[in-house]
Amino acid sequence: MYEIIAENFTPVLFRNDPFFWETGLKTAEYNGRRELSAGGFLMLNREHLYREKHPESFLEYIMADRHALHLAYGPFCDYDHHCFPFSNLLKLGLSGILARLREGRRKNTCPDRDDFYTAAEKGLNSVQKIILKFAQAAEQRKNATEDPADRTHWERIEQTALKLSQDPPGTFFEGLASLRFFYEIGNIMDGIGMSVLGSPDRQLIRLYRADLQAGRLTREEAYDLICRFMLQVDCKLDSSRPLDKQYNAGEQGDTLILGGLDEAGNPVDNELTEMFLRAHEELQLIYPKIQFRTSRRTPAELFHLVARPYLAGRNVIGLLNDEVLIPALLKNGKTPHDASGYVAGGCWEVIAEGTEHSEGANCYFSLGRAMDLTIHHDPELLKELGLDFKQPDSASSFQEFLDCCMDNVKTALKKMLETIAECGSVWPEVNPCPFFSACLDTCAETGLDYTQGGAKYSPHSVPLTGFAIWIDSLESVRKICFENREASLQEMLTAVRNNWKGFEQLRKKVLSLPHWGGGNPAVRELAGEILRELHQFITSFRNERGGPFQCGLYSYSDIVFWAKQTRATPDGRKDGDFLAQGITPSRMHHDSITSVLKDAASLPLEDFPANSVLNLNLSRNGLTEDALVALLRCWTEIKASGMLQLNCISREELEDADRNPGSHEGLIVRLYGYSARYVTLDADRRREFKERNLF
Amino acid sequence: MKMNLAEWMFFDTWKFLNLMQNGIQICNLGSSPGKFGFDYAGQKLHGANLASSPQSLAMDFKILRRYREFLSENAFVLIPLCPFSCIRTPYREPSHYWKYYPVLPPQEIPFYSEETHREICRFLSSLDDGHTEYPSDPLLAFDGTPGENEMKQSAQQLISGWKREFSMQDFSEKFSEDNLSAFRETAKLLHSLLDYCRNEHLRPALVLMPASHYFQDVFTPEFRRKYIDHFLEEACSGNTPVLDYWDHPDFHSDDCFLNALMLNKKGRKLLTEHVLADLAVKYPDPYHAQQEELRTYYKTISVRNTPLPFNPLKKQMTDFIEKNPALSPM
Repeated sequence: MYEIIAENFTPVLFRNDPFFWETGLKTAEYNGRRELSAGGFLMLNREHLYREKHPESFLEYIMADRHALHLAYGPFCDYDHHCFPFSNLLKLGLSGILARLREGRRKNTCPDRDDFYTAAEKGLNSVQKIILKFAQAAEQRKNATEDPADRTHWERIEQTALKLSQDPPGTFFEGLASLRFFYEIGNIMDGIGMSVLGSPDRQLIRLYRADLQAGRLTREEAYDLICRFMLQVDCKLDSSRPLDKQYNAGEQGDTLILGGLDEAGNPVDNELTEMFLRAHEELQLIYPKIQFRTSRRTPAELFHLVARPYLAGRNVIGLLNDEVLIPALLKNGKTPHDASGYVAGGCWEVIAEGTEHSEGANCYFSLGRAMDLTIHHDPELLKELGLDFKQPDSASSFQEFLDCCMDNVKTALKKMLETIAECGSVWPEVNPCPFFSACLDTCAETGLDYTQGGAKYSPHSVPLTGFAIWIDSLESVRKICFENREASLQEMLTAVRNNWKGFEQLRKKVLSLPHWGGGNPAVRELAGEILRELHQFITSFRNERGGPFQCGLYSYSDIVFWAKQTRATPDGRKDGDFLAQGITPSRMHHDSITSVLKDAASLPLEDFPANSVLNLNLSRNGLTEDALVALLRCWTEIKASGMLQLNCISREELEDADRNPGSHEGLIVRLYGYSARYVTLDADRRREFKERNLF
Repeated sequence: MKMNLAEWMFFDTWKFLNLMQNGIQICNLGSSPGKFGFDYAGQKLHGANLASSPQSLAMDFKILRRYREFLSENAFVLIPLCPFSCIRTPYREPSHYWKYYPVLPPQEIPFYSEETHREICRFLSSLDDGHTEYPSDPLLAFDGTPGENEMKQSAQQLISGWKREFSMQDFSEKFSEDNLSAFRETAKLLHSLLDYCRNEHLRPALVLMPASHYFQDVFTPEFRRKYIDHFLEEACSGNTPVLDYWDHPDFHSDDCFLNALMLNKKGRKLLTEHVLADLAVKYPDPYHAQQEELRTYYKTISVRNTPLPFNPLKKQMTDFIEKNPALSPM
């Protein structure tokens, strides 16, 4: 497949873009799907192996997706949300990667690994051939023009391609060209989705400074290159079209990571960080998604640069908290070097760049739906899902009720995790990725594809969603039925099963109870205990690659669409009410931002290295830049989540945007790991967004 | 002090208080022709109309400085030029400045008085009956066209008003001492305003506003040379783009106007579109060509135009597998 791609593609070069990357072998809108690129051929033709591995398990697993219990994207393995191992390429170049592979082969004594080495070498050779074809195409264009500016343009591409076909980049321009090229080629060759465009401030600062010192580049030229680098990403989509008419509802991946700490705990942000942020703002871009890594050492000026777009109605930056994520990665076995180099693939999927694929977004598990299935007696549905849930009706104490709920959720999790491990084990036969694996650390030494567990780390993330429903439901049963005895458990269950119809007074009582986000110590304690227990349970399983399952707290647009299938729950939620994102409190309570942050900070988030997401919608009315910066700093320092999805909006503006969309095309809101123009949102998404708590 | 305050006096105040948001990419200053000249709704750039009727250039400058923080880097600042902009002096009536009390700091408000300030605050609080939308000038919503007689009449009224305001019998007569002094002062002020824009990384443009054909006997080429061209030579030495709609054919028709000088809804939209198109030429976007080229290309490989599964090399791959039975069955 590699050789066919290299042989048959035609390089596409642009007169007005200084970089080269386009092979014409992938559709514009998205990267991570097998049906969108030439490299997806293998997976498209072999994914039946997943089904055939265990047809009954396959069916039940898919049903769990249909019935909003957990996602089945892949279905068992996440072929999307990767980060190309840029730092290895930037350090070694293709020839260095090839040499490392050959060295690994020389040392490896297992004959069954030969296929991997052969395929990986063919992959690397093919990529070299692809780059050389770009060089040739640029040379031809150069020779065909008399225009001096044109000649310079084509010659730069030609020379850069020649260089990168062998060596690591030696200049800032070549560094940017590497990020662009390898990001695209990673998508093409193996048919897997690359979501990260790199951490350019961290990875290219040495090249930038060397260029400045040698007089090869000015700051203005670097800024211009940065603008042109990012502009390409934003051109793929027409963001003015209605979101539900856009492919993947306008989500195209493509993230760029800025800021953060190095392995010694020093901030890596530098003049490039500032330039990328400024360029993103000046060009009014939505893509690439900027994921800005904060820490207690992030300088105030950078916090201000990050805050400004929010106050301008451009909610386009994701915030990652190094104070939470680095300790979580370290606790879960990463080295300081690998942990500090983390990125967030796509929306929030934390990846130790260069060393792993973390399978961050293919099996979101809904605690909300698990609570629904526990409460609502539905043997038909449980049978379809292959689950045997205990009934909570006979619980005579809160502990018994809690045990019943926890047993059920563990039953569902166990089924999901074991199915992934069993059925996902055919991944290497479905879609081995030797080129990508060769670029990752340790696959060259082990002689194993990363789908076989050959990479340095092989985690599979298990992101939990519906956290607030789970905690608040348990708390309301504890208070109402066993502590205050305001209603029996049977009455409570009947009320919930009737979607609270005829039990409005009881629901009122439930809504006035202590809850997640309300700053209540008992609720915090319960939440912490439950997360510890779930973490312990989930991490006791091994995944399809022999690696660990690791926990996360987030989901995607499921908070909108799964909600429709999730029936009423004991927290007072009614049939179909929207779910809350990650560790965000329920929409039914209006708490202070302080209590929400304090509650969030009390969680054992170091056990959730896959990420823990908190949504905050702040009212822009009267919100100053200083106040926003103070809030960001506070969120960072008290470690209130691994990621913050922030929106600064005003109710009046949203209402005016509904009435006069033409006047609000510039209003961009953060949805579920990505941003979109508010006026392009369909009715469901608008409603979900507007129903979020506004602080 | 007894003040006769009325809601309409504050029509222009609300937009400053209510509609200001960060990230404004284009704004305009100006008096009534500016206020009725631009409408950014539905345009690609996020815009704000900072004009107020009436508003002198001096107040334009203060408003711009006050609201600079809401403008994005490289925002466009449109400065409308009307027939008598060059000799218009600041207003001498304190009540003219009442509308700025909630908007500008005291030191920026001519004839400022604390008592007046208190009175205005009391009055505005009394209006606050919980409604979320503040009243705007009803004329802004007017999208009809006045009849010919009304247009003629309004032209005559404006001409008489200008003659009174500038103490002139005939616009072709030599400038009086007062008018000449005003001309020089205004040119100096405009010069400072343009310098300010450049220092603040804003992109200014002067806009010669369209006028209806009912002024054709007054706004002759000689008039234009004297009141516009000479003024621009004095004020901006040619380094600021001038967008000229003085005699633009698209505004020859009455159906763009609210009265002989001000644009109605349709005219406002039309002028704004013209201005945005012309700004793109005057201030070329260095990334426009790249954007256009890439967008055009990406359309061709968009999922919308591409049958899925998308694989241009499917045939070659299938052939290869057929020739290598060890790889089958898939």
